[in-house]
Amino acid sequence: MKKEELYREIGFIEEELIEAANYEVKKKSFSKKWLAVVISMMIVSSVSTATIAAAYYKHQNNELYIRYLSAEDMELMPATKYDADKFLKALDSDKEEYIYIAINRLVESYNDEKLRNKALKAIQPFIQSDNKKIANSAIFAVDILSGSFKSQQVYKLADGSVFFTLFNNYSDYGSQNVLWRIKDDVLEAYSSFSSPSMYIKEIIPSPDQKLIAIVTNSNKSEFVEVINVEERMVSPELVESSRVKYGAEQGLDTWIRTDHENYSYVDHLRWKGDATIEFEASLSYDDTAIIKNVVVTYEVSQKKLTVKEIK
Amino acid sequence: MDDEKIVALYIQRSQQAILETRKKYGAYCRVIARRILANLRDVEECENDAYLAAWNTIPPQIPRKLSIFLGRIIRNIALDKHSYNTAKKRNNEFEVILTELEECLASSHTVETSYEAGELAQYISQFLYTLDEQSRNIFIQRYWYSYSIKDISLHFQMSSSKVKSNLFRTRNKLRFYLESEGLYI
Repeated sequence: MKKEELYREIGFIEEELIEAANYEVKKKSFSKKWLAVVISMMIVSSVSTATIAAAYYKHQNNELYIRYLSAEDMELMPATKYDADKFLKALDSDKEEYIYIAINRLVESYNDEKLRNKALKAIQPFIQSDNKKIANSAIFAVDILSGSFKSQQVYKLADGSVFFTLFNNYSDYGSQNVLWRIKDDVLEAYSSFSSPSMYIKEIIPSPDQKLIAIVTNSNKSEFVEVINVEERMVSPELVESSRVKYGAEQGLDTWIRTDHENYSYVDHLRWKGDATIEFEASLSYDDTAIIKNVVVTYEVSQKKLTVKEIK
Repeated sequence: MDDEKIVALYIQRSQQAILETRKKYGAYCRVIARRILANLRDVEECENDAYLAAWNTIPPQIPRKLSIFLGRIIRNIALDKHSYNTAKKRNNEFEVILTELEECLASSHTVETSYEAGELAQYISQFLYTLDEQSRNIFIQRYWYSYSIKDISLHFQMSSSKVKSNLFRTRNKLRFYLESEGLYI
């Protein structure tokens, strides 16, 4: 046995023994005359304690300590801060692409009232733009920044929060892969998706508006997740889960590609009640040599996934 | 808040449970981890990991004494962290405690027996009941709470050398006790 194992084992001795051996510093009452002396001593000692503490933390900071390696750390670059002025200036650009990006990015100024009003005023003229994409993005940005939330692309949930995406349908595949939320008048990037979920294709709230089903996609695959908004929990990804579950049941090759593309597709996604989702899926196996068309049902509360082939 | 109410919050899966645990036992947990680890950031990480472990284990486990339950968790997490750290980053004072415990282990010539977690602890508890109260508490303060010799000597109003010799005798007694029970660790 190692010494560490013995130390760990001592941790499991009886609770009564542990409790009996614990001692606490007992508080003693002070007479008033001593109180003044102690206070003045504390003032003197706090100065020296602060000096010692500063020296201690300086020593701590000298130690090389990396808890997480972020992309910024790896590039030795500070994280870029959101710069609303840059996007306000971009509205004057000759390039329509810049204007389109700036309008969408200016929605992020929502939490700063001054900037929000400035952005709102600057974006409003673009509602009349001849470019449909710019005009639609301006209508949407004004809807969010003015707090009216009347757009069909804003999803209102039971807890009073609203969800939406920016860069709505900027591609044939869908919108930007970031899910935004405004709750208690605070905007936040609630969740973002990584490759291969490059776009958000659909957001479908449950009938009781407590859950949302999100369909994300790449140009090769589609994915479905259910988010419990209030509890900040997300289901397993349902398309790949179905593909593996059904493939295993049928004795098919269920290995997953390293780029996580599943070459599978989703259709007719709908809620059946408040906590059950159903969709049709075309599942791909053996490098698309085998395609199985199935109906997938996921009962959220039971966490039960059922996959049935469409005959 | 009472321990019972905090445990009830865990059972209800209310995240308030972690806030209340931190409020009541945050300092206690940090002190235990601080005696094992040298780095404050490691201590902070262990504290957070301990809350997560409590969240994951209550229920089904229902602690009888929340302080000791948390103490055990953070002690184990901190010990893992200590073992993971390189020699340079380790807490020298805690290394001394572990080295002292080595004296209770059987010599390398003896065939060791393997034990289930907690099995040996029952024998150690029985052994501790055979000791006088002071020796028992000195042992537990040193090897459960990881107090320094100086802290123990201040608490018991004894000289450091007396605490050391007391611990030395208790460690020897423990080794003989375990061997007499047929336990070779």
